[in-house]
Amino acid sequence: MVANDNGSMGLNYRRRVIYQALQNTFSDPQQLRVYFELWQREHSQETHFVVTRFAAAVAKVAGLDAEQKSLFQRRLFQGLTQPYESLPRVPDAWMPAANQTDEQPFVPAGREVQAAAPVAPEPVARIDSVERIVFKAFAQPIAAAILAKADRHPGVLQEAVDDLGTSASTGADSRTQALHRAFKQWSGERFASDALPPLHAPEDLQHLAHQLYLLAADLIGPMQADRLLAQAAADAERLPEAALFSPQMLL
Amino acid sequence: MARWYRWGFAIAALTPGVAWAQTTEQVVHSVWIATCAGFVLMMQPGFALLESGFCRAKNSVNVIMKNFTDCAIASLAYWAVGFGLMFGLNWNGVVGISDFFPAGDGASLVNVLYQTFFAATAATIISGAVAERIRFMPYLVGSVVVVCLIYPLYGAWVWGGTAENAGWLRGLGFLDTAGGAAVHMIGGFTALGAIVVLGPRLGRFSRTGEVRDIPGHNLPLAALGAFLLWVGWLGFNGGAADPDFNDLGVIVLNTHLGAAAGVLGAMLTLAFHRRPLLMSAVINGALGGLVSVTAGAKYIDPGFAVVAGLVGGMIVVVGPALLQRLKIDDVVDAVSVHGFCGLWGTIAVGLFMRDDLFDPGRIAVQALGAGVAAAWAFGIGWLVYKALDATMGLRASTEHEQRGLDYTEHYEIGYGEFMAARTHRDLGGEG
Repeated sequence: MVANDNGSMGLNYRRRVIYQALQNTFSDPQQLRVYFELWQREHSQETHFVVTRFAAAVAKVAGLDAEQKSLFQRRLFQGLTQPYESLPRVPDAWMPAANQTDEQPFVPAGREVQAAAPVAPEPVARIDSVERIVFKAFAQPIAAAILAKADRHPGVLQEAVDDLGTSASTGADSRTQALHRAFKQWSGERFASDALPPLHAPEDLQHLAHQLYLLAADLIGPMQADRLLAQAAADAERLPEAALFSPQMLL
Repeated sequence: MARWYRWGFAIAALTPGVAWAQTTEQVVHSVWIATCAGFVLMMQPGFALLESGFCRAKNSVNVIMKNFTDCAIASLAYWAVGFGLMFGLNWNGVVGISDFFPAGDGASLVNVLYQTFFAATAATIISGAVAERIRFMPYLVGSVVVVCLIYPLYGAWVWGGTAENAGWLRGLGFLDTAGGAAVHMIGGFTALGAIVVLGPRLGRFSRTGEVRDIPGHNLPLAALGAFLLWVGWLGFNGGAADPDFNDLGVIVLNTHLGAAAGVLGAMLTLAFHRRPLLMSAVINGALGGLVSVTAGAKYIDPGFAVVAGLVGGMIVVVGPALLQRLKIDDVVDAVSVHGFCGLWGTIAVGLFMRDDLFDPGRIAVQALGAGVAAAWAFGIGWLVYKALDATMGLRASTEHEQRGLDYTEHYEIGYGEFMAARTHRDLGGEG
């Protein structure tokens, strides 16, 4: 998994991914720098690391044909699968002033930060872990369909969630019960993305996805639930983050 | 007929185990029974395709696996235990007590083979009803219990013993040509007991009582399965012909007419209810018609076989609605097709008996036999599956139901190219 210690994908890591893909695509250093600055200026602040959007912007400016654009995009995705250390360092002169000497080493998930070097604040707000980004994209259409149905029958959502709780408490371990409480709380917030319980482990998110499926099967019907689930997974698969955490893992 | 016998000799010469000391009539009958056994075995792929087609794609492998393995396991269990309980020396008209692990002469072993496929048919009827939510191993254990207890005991009452020491229903004059009660009612009502214990599939019934359709993933496959069953049924019923074959014609004609009338009955009923002419209902109509004439194929005239089949076709349209009202989920309508149509067909023997139409005494005996079959199969079936639920856990988890039993039970999926990326995790991933 490519993420830093607090679960987010570091800005410097993303810079290196962009730099490597540009370097492998454009031989002219001037041109390379222009496109890098384009990313710095217009895309580095994006909450989600949507490489396809940047690829489209570069293709437009540089006049890349479909094949070249596709190749560039593939290089961006390839970069996302590489560890930080193996990516080329961005020249210091290209770094924004505040960050010029502060390029932070990439720290894999779960490792303690050992370096004592001063850490400059990230220029963007903390972003979600890859798993949560994918989960939110996956859950959104399913939750919307559930809410659309539930809103027509007041009280039915609460009833259905309580029934899930009844089956969850029968012979379930404390972990499952805790997950159900988290799910119930989230349903109380109408499955809002920013109210998603602080869960990161794939198996916990998978549990929430299953609870969503059960609700959809109960309230909308099993065929619709199957289709929603498959469609949500296919849609979430298009996220660049899906290269790191496939939504298939939620099924 | 002379050509018939020459072919019989030629085939018999190639059939191991058919002793030459037998009369020509016995040899030909043995060959005929062996041929019919092949037809009955062909009903197994028929059931497999029908049931698989009526299920969602994510459960298609699981359904076929159940059919495939219960044919094998039920055959072994029936040969070892069931046949003896059913056809062994009959004790007080209740149960056979000899002929376990049969290994006699060629002619009798042909009958063992034929009866073994009957037993496998009774077991596999349950498979479709419980599809998409039953765990695989408890299902197989249930199949073994069906062919070692539920089916052979009722079979012993209907077909067991000799004329002097007959099974108790047989002694009362109960008639069942080829298992309208003994195979189909037993399979259908055991299935009812199983699905009552098992409960409906996730989301099948809404909180407001609405019934959600869960269409099968491949109806052409289901229709192909029904066609195979139709063909196989000619051997299923045809094997009940007397050794002199005088009644073979009426049996096979009645069988075919029953199926045809069943199709018509289903279509008329759909039209009467102003519903579309659903292929799924029409192919079940053919099967309902076939089940309806199975008990009486030998005993009723072709005109009444049409009546029996016609009513059977109507039952398969009306029966599922009745079960749905009770919130009972039968994936392939096996209870209606085999249970309800078997019940009707068994009573129809009393109504339409050749040269003895509408004899109240006969009707009462047939109704008694049908009632006993329904009560026995449902009651013991319910107990058996309840016990399996308590000991092994019958129902697949909701996670497994979501992912599909193909993947969770067998780690294989039926339509890899289309489904792996859509509804299942990569097979190389975590389990």
